[in-house]
Amino acid sequence: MKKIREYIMGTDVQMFLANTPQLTFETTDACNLNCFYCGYGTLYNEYNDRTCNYLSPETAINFLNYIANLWQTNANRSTHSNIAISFYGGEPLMNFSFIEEVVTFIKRELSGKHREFTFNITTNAVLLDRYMDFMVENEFRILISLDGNKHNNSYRVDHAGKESYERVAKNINLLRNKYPDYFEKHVNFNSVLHNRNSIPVLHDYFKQSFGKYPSIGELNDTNIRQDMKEVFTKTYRNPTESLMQSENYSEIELDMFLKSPTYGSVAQFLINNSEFKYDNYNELLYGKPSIDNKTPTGTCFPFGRKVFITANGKLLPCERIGHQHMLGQITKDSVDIDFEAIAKRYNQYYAKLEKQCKGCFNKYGCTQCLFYLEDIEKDVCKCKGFMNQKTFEDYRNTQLHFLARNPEAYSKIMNDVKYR
Amino acid sequence: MLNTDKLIPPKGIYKYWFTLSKNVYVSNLSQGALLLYNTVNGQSFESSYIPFIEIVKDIHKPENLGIIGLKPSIEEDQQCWATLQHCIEKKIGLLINVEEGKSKPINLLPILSLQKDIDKFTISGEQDLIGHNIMSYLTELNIYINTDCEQSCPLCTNYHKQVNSCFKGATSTSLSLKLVETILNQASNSSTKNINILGGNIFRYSLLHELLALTLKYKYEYHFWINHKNFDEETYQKIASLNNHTDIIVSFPLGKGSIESVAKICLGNDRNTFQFFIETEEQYNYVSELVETFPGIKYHVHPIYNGTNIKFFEKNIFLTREDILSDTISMRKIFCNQKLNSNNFGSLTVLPDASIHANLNSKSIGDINKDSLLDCVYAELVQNTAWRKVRNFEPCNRCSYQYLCPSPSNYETVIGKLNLCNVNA
Ligand code: SF4
Ligand code: SF4
Ligand code: SF4
Ligand code: SF4
Repeated sequence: MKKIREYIMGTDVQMFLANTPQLTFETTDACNLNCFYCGYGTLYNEYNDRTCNYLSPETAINFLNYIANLWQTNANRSTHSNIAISFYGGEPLMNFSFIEEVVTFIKRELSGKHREFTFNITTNAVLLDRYMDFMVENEFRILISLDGNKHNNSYRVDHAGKESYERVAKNINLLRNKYPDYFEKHVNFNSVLHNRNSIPVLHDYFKQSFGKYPSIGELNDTNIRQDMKEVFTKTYRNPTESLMQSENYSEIELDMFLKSPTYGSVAQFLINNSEFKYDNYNELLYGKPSIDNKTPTGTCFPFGRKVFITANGKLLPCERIGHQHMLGQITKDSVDIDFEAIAKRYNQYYAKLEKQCKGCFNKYGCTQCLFYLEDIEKDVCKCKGFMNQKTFEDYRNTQLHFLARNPEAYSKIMNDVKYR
Repeated sequence: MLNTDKLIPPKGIYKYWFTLSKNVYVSNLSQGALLLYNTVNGQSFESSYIPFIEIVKDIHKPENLGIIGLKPSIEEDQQCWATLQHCIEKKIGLLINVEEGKSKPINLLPILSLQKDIDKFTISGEQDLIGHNIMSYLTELNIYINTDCEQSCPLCTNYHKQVNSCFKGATSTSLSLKLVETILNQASNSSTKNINILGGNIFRYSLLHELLALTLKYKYEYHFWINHKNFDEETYQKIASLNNHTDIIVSFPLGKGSIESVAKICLGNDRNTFQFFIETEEQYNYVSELVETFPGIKYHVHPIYNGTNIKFFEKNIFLTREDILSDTISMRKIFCNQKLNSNNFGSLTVLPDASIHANLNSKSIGDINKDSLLDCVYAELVQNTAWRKVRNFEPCNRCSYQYLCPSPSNYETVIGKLNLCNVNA
């Protein structure tokens, strides 16, 4: 068998884990809503056995202790640095006792030992009224999923098919009235774009109702059930197209800044392609690493961006990819991670794409995650995002055109944007 | 519904678009004169002509995105027009004819975007982002294992404040082997490649053999620093037999044993380097002759300030405009000079009393008995005793060469003059 290039080694994977900036717990995969477009819902092939699992605090604490031990080893290269502890679901507040125990444990046992902690939660806000005091007390950064006004939000229904809007809006206002400063500082929104809302509508709704702008997510276009493809196409909306439908797209772009798909895209383009962007002091001192040493695709290193812990204790590089890509398994008394095997697996993926990426004009700024490539487990895998010179030029021109329309964006992005 | 009409300038207003090459660094836009420097061809050009300075300033306004329109009347201002032409000849500026109906071009001029910029994190209150993955910044360690030495070089206490050198302490101290091993072990997850072992006289370190055994266990490039006066062939051979480097300091006055005999022993091993410390031109001439008699000898020459040889420094070390511009300075180097001190960044020194310094002229940032190297790297990044000292002080901060000049070095500190140049005397 042909020897493949060792882009990463087991010790690297261990180092990525020891220095990971984020741990996301899928607190439970159960949810009190049943949104039409949910990744676990009717549009998609059943990949992940979602059977109302609740992650146990003992399992999470076992893993936290494991990571904390890594901080005492040479694999640790960070200190005084922030680690974000995120609670995700399903609906995380359906397993509130877990959240409470984990937060208490971290504050009592781990704070100050090489790391500082911030807590995040992504919630549908249905149970917000019950638990908001705790979240405020622990300075949670709250990301609320809401698709706009009552009509916009009408795909977000409960298991009886009843719309969630009234209840959610009531809870948000409760939080806002009781803790106005906190709401201002720590509460943000997340909207899925579809055929019942649009970016201009979302912009206006959130600006008027809360003085904020939401992050915009698209519908996931992988793993759609064969018989639902048509429904999907009807429901799906492309963010940039949605934005450009408005007469006031310029104003919206400026308001939403990086949350606007166009502004966000140009920021990403500049940060990835500008010769004047340097990641860190070593790059300034010794020069940027050669493209030949860059790993193929734009995939994050295993555990390099975060660790996602599923409700049944699987470890994944993030919440956005299928559970078949698990990298390890934890229980309340074991942690099973084979660093060498993970490195080998990634090196095999890289080998499949090495040649394509080399010839791709977007290789410097690639953000393609290899786990989104349908054939990644097959012997031959083609990247849909491949750019030849022409497609790259088109892409580049689109970004430059945005800058020509918004000249001040260039210095703003170069001076202010931190890409994490 | 993209509207591009407003990107097209009204007919007849502008005759030319003027821009600068994206390789051009512009210095001191706020002062009465400015320097334009092409970082690829090394050409530079200074101007204090106000209308031209205004043009360059306008080009840099965010709303102009690197390019401005020039009206036909520009050609009537002969001095300005000549200056523009001069810019173009030096490949510093570019003049483009305005084509009717075509939108204004853009040019993405240099703006440094340093993602993990500590100053920015501090200003934005995101201090918790400073300490992530910082061990990779550590690239070099100087470990002083003892302070013992039987020599009495007159400048003993001066050398190490200027260059890598031995120095002897008032009292005899040495770093325990255990601490040395702790350091070597902790550095293994950094980017450290070179480890300098220094003293006093390191050949007198009682556990030198054990220390040499450690060099087999922890893989780095080890440099053992010994003054030629303390050179001893047998110990040298042991160090060399383990593929370590030996750096032989030759300071004046020379020792009794002839330097030639040391050179003969060390010649032929390219891991050996002679480090000549010179204070005068005579010494320099002596060294020049000496090295000529040993073809292939590896050596460096370091000027040493002895308190009385400022003239020697003024003549040979102080920078002139020509010196500064003699090599092409890349944009990265200029950015680098704005953000960090390339003499110091990445290097830590551990002294026999266990104190840790980012530079031997700066205060201690830790104690290896209780602080890890990681703690010290963090402390240095936050406290900035040396690694990020740049030319942001008088008079450099009002000089056009501020970031074209190399980072401030130990000489500035020791001489007590912040600009070692003939530009701003
Ligand atoms: S989507 Fe892919 S690249 Fe992005 S965080 Fe997840 S695993 Fe990493
Ligand atoms: S977009 Fe290009 S660089 Fe990125 S994974 Fe695909 S082929 Fe490789
Ligand atoms: S040999 Fe080195 S340590 Fe000894 S006196 Fe001379 S300079 Fe000082
Ligand atoms: S004043 Fe400072 S910046 Fe200017 S030439 Fe002298 S040393 Fe360099």
